[in-house]
Amino acid sequence: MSLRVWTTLATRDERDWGHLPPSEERAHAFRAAEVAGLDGVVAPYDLGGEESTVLVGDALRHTRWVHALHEFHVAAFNPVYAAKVAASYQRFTAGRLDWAPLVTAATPSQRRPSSTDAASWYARADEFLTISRGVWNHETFDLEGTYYQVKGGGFREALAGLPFPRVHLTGSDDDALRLSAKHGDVHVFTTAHEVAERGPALQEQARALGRAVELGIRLSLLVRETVGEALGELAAETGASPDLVPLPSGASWWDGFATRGHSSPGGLVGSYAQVADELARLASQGVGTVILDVRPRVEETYRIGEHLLPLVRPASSSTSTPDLETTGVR
Amino acid sequence: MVDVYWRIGTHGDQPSVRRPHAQTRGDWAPHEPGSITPGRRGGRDDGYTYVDHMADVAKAAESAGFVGGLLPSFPFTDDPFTTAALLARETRTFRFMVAYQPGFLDPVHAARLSASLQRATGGRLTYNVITGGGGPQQTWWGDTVAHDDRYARTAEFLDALKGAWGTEPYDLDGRFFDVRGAHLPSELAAQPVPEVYFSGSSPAAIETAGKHADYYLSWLEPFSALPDKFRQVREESAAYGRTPRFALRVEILARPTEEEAWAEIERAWPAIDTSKLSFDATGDSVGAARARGFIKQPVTGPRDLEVEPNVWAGFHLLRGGPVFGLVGSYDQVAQRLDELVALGTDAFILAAVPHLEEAYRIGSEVLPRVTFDRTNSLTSTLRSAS
Repeated sequence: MSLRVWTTLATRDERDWGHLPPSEERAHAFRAAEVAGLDGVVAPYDLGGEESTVLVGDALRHTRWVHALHEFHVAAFNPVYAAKVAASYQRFTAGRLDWAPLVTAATPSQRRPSSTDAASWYARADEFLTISRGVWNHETFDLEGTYYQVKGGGFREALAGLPFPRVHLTGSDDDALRLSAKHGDVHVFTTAHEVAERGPALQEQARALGRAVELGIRLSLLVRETVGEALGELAAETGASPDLVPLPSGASWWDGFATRGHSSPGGLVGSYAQVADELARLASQGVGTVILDVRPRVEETYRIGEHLLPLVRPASSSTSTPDLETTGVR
Repeated sequence: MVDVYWRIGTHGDQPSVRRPHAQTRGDWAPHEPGSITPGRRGGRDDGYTYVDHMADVAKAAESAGFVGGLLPSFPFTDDPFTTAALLARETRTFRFMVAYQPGFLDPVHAARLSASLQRATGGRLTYNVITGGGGPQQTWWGDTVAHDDRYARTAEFLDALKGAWGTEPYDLDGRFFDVRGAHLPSELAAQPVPEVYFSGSSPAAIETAGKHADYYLSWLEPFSALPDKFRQVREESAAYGRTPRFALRVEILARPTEEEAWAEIERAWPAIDTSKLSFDATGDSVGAARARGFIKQPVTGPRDLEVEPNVWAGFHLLRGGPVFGLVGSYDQVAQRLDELVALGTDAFILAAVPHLEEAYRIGSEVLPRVTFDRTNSLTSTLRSAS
């Protein structure tokens, strides 16, 4: 299996260059992912930054290969409208939209009836995904739910027959795995430990429902030609000896990436070969999706594309190869 | 200053006003010879999609002197917010007038989305807030709230959106929405709240418009009926200490001479759907029902629908959309637009099919003939993108 490798886009201004509009700064980053051969870019849900729908539109319009993973809170819109938004993206970008609906992330607002605890948020998410997929795949669709009611719904005409966005879900508790088994295409964990601990149980639950859920991991990365360079960089930045967990390849796991400004606190530090080794180990456990968080984004995306990906992907393998004539961008 | 907007079709477009059922631009109808975006080359799709045509219409309208364009929203259309997000960086002064129903979005999410679009475009987002025609269309969207309650929800939504559009925490223990500690990061809070073009003709609509509309948007109606409608909205607004402005959505069929304009309709007439001549309205939309009252039956030919000079009640027969519009020479249409401004109109959304070519025609032949002061977005630095 070939890994799908994603990078994460900025939702806030990072360079503090007054002359560079933030949307231009971000455009450099998704162009980097595009030309460096990554599979996609993630538009994160960030209450303290810009809204992800806008990032997704900009990235998909100005690329031809990369997918965009739209992270949003399920409270953001009703499921039929969410599906409408997705349908337009799929129509205009040759099906390059993916979904990452968030369930228990903080939201300052929701439509009544309110969800008040994890159980009621998961119940709402279940209805949301049932309806959005339901109207997408059926010409007529009805559902009388607790949170949403649809009567005489269903996509027809140009809205019909499009690929539904691949659904990426997160979390490691039982509620999260149950939702993923029922609705997820990819379940994204945040540590190798979670992958090993919870991955098999999730895949078993999905199988029981006649479904398959791919495993994924989201992590930060500090990778250089040699492990010495990577560690040297880290020591120079942190000024102390960071708390590193040694891994079999010689690379390390570090939980301190937040101090470098990353949004994924955990990740790998090591040489290209070592990190490729760790990713191969994850792939052997069923991981097919790796979402990376790197800084600075543009330069490190080039580094990954040119130095790490060739070690991760054997020459013969290639990920999806969309028909150039149908990628829907110029 | 009068803002003159154009429109971008979100359900494809037809190649000529003479072919009411042809839909060869975009993929909302099956591909036929002559279809474009996508077109065919060497027997295969050429890789263009309908959004590429929408981008070209936006650029045509921008070049032709329109300040922006309305992106309409119905069940079987593309989504306006999505289109605006895709096209944000492809125009310079063009304002995206995004149609949406507040019931379908969370208000704080809408604030974040809108402020992010404002930041990406240099403040070029405008709202067309619609509250929905009711009936099967409404439940298709997953909305079961009754007509007057929908307007109450629209009001609460706009309260919450504006309340959250700042850096201080905002709470609203509402009937429809539950908002706690909502605010925007400072870069987004600094963006302007989009102007609200508010649609709706019922008493509940006009009451809500009084509180929230920057522009009260109406389809064109016979000139004799407009002053009353404007007066009613003005009175409702006064209760909230607001002075509303009025915008009209006007279909145009303009040619060098009046005869040529009517000849276009005569050519299309044999192909029209005659069942639409009964002016039946579905759903609970008060706007559609109002149009019916102006028509004298029976209708046997196009000129039977000319309810006032150059005001024609048959545009819905030529393509989806409003009933009333202006038919005439460039001079006549410009003169009617001047009269509408004299009646109290502050902004226009004009439209004609095909949207791209007609943007050039109206921009170069009709707009130069009007005498009212209109916003010239091309020389305005206020809204130019950074």
